Amino acid sequence: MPMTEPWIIVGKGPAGLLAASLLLEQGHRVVVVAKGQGSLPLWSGALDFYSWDTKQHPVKAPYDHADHLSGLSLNREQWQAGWEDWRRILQKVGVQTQVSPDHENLLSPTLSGVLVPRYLVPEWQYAVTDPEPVTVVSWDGILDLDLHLWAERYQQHTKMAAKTIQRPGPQGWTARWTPLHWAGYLDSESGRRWLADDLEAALDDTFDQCPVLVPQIIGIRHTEEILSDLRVRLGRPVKEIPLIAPCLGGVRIAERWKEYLLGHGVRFVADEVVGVDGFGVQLATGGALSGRVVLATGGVLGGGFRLQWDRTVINTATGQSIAWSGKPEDLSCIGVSDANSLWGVVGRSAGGWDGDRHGGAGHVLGTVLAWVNAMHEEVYCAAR
Amino acid sequence: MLHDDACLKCSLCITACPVVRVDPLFAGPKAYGPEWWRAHEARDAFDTDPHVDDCTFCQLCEAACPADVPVAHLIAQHKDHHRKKRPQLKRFRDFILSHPHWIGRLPFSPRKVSAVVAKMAQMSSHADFPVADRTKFHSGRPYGENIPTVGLFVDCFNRSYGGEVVAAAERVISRLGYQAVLMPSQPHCCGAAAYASGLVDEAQRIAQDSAHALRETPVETLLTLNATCDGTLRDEWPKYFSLSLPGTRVLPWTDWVLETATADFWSQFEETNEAVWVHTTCRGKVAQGEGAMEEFVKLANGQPLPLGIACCGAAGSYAFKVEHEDAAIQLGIKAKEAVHRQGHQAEAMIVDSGTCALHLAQYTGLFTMHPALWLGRRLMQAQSLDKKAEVSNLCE
Amino acid sequence: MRMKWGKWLMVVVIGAGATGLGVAWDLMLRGVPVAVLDQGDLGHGTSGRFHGLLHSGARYVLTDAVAARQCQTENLRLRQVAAPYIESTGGLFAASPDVSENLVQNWLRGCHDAKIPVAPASPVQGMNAQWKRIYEVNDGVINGYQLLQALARGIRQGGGQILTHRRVVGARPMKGKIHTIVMEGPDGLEEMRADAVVNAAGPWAGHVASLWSDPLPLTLSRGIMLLFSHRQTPKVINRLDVPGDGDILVPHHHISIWGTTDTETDSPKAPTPSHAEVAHLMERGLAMFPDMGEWRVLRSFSGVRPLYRAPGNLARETRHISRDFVVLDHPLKGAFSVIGGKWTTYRLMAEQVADRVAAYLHYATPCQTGAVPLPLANAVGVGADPLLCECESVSKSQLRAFEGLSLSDLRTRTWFGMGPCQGTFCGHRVMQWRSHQIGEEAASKELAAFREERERGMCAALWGDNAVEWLLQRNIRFQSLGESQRADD
Repeated sequence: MPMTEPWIIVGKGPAGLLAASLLLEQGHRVVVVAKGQGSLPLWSGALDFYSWDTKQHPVKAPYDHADHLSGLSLNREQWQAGWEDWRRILQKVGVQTQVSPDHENLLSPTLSGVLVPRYLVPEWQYAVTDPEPVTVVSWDGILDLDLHLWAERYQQHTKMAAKTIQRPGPQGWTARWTPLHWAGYLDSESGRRWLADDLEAALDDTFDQCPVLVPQIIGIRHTEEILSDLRVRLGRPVKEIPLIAPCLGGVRIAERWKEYLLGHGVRFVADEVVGVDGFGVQLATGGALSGRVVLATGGVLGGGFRLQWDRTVINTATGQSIAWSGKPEDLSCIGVSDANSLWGVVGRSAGGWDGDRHGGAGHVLGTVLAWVNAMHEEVYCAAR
Repeated sequence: MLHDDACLKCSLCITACPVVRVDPLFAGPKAYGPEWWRAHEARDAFDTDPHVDDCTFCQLCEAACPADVPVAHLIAQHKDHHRKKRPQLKRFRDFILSHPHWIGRLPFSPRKVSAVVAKMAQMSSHADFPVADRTKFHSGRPYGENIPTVGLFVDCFNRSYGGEVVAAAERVISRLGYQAVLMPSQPHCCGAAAYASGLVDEAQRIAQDSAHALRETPVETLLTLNATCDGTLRDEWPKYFSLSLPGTRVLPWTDWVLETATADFWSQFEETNEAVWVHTTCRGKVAQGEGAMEEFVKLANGQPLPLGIACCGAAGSYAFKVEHEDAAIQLGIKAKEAVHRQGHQAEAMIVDSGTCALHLAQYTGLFTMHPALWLGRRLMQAQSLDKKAEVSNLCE
Repeated sequence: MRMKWGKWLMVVVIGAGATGLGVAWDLMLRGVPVAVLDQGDLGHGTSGRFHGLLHSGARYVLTDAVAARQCQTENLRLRQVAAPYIESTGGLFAASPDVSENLVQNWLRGCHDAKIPVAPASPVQGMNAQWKRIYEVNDGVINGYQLLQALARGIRQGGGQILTHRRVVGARPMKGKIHTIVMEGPDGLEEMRADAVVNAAGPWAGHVASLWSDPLPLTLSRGIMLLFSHRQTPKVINRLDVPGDGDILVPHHHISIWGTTDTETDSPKAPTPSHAEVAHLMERGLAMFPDMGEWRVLRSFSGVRPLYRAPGNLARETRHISRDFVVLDHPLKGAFSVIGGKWTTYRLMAEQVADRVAAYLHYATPCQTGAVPLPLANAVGVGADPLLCECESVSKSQLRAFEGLSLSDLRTRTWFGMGPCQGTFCGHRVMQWRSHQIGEEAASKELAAFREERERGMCAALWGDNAVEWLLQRNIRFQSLGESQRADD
């Protein structure tokens, strides 16, 4: 049922791309207007949902705590269906994910060896329901992953053994390599050969059934292929531990997602939205686009809001100033009550939810779901 | 530059950079742009890095920045400061390549540069060079008084090597009920080539001349046939050169056609579903985004196949320089891989830059062209079909 | 408890700031054995919390001619003896349109009287175009931490001791003279024999003097400063007026510091700036630099000035207390206190203190600090190893030169974590390196304290890209790194 009026999604972070994909599936025409890259490459690619309880312990069963996001008024079944939506879209985009068989959080180690709960985890990333002994291999110059510390924390956290192997980098490596340099090299034929040879030489028979964990540097385009080749060659699974931003997991997802949308006729306009009304958006370069608008401009991080020294906050898309208590912890939910019936707001916390501390994918999904479900009748507005 | 100090260190610029993925010695946009700049500002004689020249100036880093840091333009400053450390021969070569409007006037245009010449001129003996296209593109028709007029910016490349493209663009414009004034009347460069090589002052001079020439014929709308010139004229001139074309709206020819053409226009194209690869150049992505050419192909009843690469490695004169051979080849191979990955579904590709088309043709083996040429050809097909239909109607 | 130090004559200096280290360096050059104690690291107090301005004295010509003259003399002298740690930026004084011509003429006369060279100048980029009366003087920038380290190096090379992280908790007399200093360090209580003690504890000088029960006429005043991530101007910029709030902009290496305020406070501990104070500073700043609201702010911090309230000075505002200094001796023989003064005049203060101490100990050697240059910093090669801190270019080999120091002390030595990202991308890397020396648990605690300190400064200036950075930092800390404990949890 193609419609003449397109949907204009402002922002291309996870919320924007998810909203665009769901609309596309329903046969709508979609235009994404965004300045910048979107925040996906700051993510490892694993999607968390209500990761921590108030005492900072990982929580395994996410739905029991959904009341903390009560502004979304979605029940357990709706949530689960939403996750399945997201999972399906990632699959279409070309990213396979793992979920726990009982629909609880999986546990996945961070680069500092601490286990954190994640709901939806791309296949390349290591995640389990029950911790097991592991072998971790890293290479010189991958600054963020300190094997000694990682193993110490992993053992403390899981009571499981972790064997560590530190290797020198390949020929041509320089001290200024970022994960993107590694990825470019490992995506190439020579890089793949080097990696397989080096891992084979590094591993011995200890824990020979256990998975081999490596830092998240295994290419961008050929990751899954490389990892499955390694599994065959080494006889044990090889999985990644996500690193700090720039995260290759997010880069892989962002690139494939954008390609998928482009291939399905979505247009990306590189511009900044400086005004919104019932008919569409005004652009910084002077043009305008008409259509129904969804603001997925993210929070302060995504550029949706600009804080000023006098404590006023400007919604960059509408140009309007909005209220902020001045308390840093309230930043995650500014602007939600700003939602006007003329446009939707997705990807923002539904009030009092500290996404940075407790996990942010939950409110991305919650708000997108709520809005997509309600889109024909009424536009989602959480804080009212 | 207001936001040159706003870097968040988030590294999104590095994720957008095509060069870091193929060049192990290129430290990346964050290091060469904002980090270098901050150190340079604090200590005047801060060291430059020779590998800053490996940057293609695709500007994807700058477009990716969430804090509006002019990353690419800081890198251009870095290149400019590094200029004096380059060998004499390369400096001379860069100066010549910074004036593409001179090169177009050369009486020769070989497809390849011989090894001897390559070495002498520090040029790549691997890259394909453009061959002159003497197609006469000006219709020669006098401008009509009552016909709405648009300016058509004839860039250095198309002026010398893309006559057919300009002619096709003109033909479509007139089919849409407008007439095109070709601008500027004499060859002028927008300054992009010099800026990309880090000749910042020279770029300013070249752009100034060009702006002067363009202001001679005031138009309300100026259409561009190359994404780099498009971004330079519209976005970089006011921001970095303090130049403007008052009262003139600059936009890509493709976008103007999308805006102007009615359903009637599009309905003349037969539903052949002819597949065609689409590559929006890096500079096109920065200036306009992506998906416009795909929409364009779809409306003309073709089937667009987005290529899905960031920068092809041509980057103006980048691939012509001997020191960039390796990076340009690696990036070209990525384009080939992209075609291969998606199954070799079409023989032709449309791309909004002449040098990129040349480079992509070399690496993918596809027939590459500007969307104007593609549409122009479909238009001719449609017209001949129309004629056939007329003829058959008459026969009946 | 056992006697650990000091079999010979010994002068103990309390406070490893500019004054304390300056006194120790001075005494050492006269041949007097010295030891410097500090409750924190070098520059733990006011010396590590200033704007970095090397005064020409022009700021004080309207209100304090003595201070102005002292500043000018010391300014020229420090350029001689501490050249590697001084940046000769020059400074501008710009008068707003509201300032009377009369005041400007008085100021010019004052500069002339104080022998401060003045020349008309043109404005720098970004300055309010209405501010047309602009003059240049020989202001400069002091690289405070580096200068302190140079002093410390000189003292150590000459055989003096510097004991950081030791809090003085007692002073024991014998026959009316100072005899022993008791301090609390990382290994518990320690004692040190002292033939004389110099209380150069800055804002803590009152606490120290109370150990020998002699209250000091000390008034504390706090000043707020704002840090911008970039070097906004090539020169120091001052407001040409009677000294007030928000009237100095100092380009300090990569960054710029905008200050300051002046309000009385009762605690020597530097407080977190309030929003009202920061807003006040911004309002003052915008008058001079209309774009200041767009500058990339990094953080806000405060410092506490120890001011000497002369008998009879009943000024209600701390601003009207002179920036002059005073050296006092106490009924307890051999105990001296120095209060007041400014960074720029630290050498002069040190000289006068050392004169008194030397006289008390019957040392006849005169002061040499006006002629002997400070030792150079050890060159630490950046090397080919990767940068842990990209903002300030700090590599692992640089950290190795300071092995054994805590995360927060490493920060002030190497400057890691001080740039635009405020430790977002390097805090955990340095912590990892540190954990190899002290173990995971202790290193995690140091990281938490480091985060807390950085966060406090950032949140005091939470706008623009600094707010974005702060959110990014939280995201990375809690999501990517799994840091779940906060120092205050």
